[in-house]
Amino acid sequence: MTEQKLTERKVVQINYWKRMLKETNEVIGKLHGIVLLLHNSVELPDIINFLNKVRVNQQLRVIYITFINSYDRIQETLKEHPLESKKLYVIDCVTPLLVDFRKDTPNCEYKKPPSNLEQLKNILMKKIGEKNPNIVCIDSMSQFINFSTPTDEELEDFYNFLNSIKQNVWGLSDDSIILFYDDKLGPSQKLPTISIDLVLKLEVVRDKPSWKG
Amino acid sequence: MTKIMIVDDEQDLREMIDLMMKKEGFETEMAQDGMEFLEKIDVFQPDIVTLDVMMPGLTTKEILQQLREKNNNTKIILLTVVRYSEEEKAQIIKMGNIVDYITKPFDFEELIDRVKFSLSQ
Repeated sequence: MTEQKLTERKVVQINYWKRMLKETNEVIGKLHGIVLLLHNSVELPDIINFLNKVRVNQQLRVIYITFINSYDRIQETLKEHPLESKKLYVIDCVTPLLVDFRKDTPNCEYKKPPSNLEQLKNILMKKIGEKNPNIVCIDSMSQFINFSTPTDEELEDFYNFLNSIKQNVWGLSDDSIILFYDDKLGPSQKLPTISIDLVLKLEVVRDKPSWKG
Repeated sequence: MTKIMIVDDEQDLREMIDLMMKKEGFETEMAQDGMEFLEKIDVFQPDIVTLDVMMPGLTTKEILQQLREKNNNTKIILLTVVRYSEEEKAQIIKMGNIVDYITKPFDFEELIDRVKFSLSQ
């Protein structure tokens, strides 16, 4: 293949990905409803980057319930990767597992992790009632269900959980619940289709693309 | 023979680590939660333990507390999906029994190397 043809092919590839990125950003920008976000072990800066793209420049209240990142770690990360135009309230379910007792702060409360979806629902419904958030992030659903080999009972519990949240608390169509799900446990064989408004797959590529040099 | 105990509520991962450790020549025992671990540790008397941080039932903090009450100094390597801050990591390493801290997902070769390193200390 001639050098000119190679260059043309690269230009087509770059334009294709630019267009894809633009369309994806438009979807994320208008995000609403219940969103299942499949990913390959994203780190906290990737999550912040994602949230920054959601309804850009709108002042939004975000509840982030975490089974992955401690509040200390979140604060440490936010210093380098600020969350723009969004007020964050954290329910930290990991710090109480190991490190010394911490007092709740105006932006964080510490909780022992729920052991099932019913307990998670109760925590969320109480907090949604108090804080009236625009966005709720659950990081991560992988703690409760494995979509590579879910049983019918697990899927039913999952749908009941989503329906309860939708029916009892969620009213405004602009609001979002983002369910993070790390698919490192294996490819999702049974992706939930009922009660989910949008499924997104976030692949974080750490290597530079070849055309970036 | 060096004894290792694998404590994790994820059955697949527990059995995989068990298999790898057996291949490395360790004598192994497994437990699926903190309660079973505390019941088995006195009988099996491991040289080292790999302990998942997030399991149903007892928290890691409660497990470590009970080990302290038993005056049990068995070395523990924590396996966790949790991302802690630098300050918290330093605090965890200073806690009794804990000799290392590995973030999931991890490479099995790395786990074996770190188990061997911890045993040599």
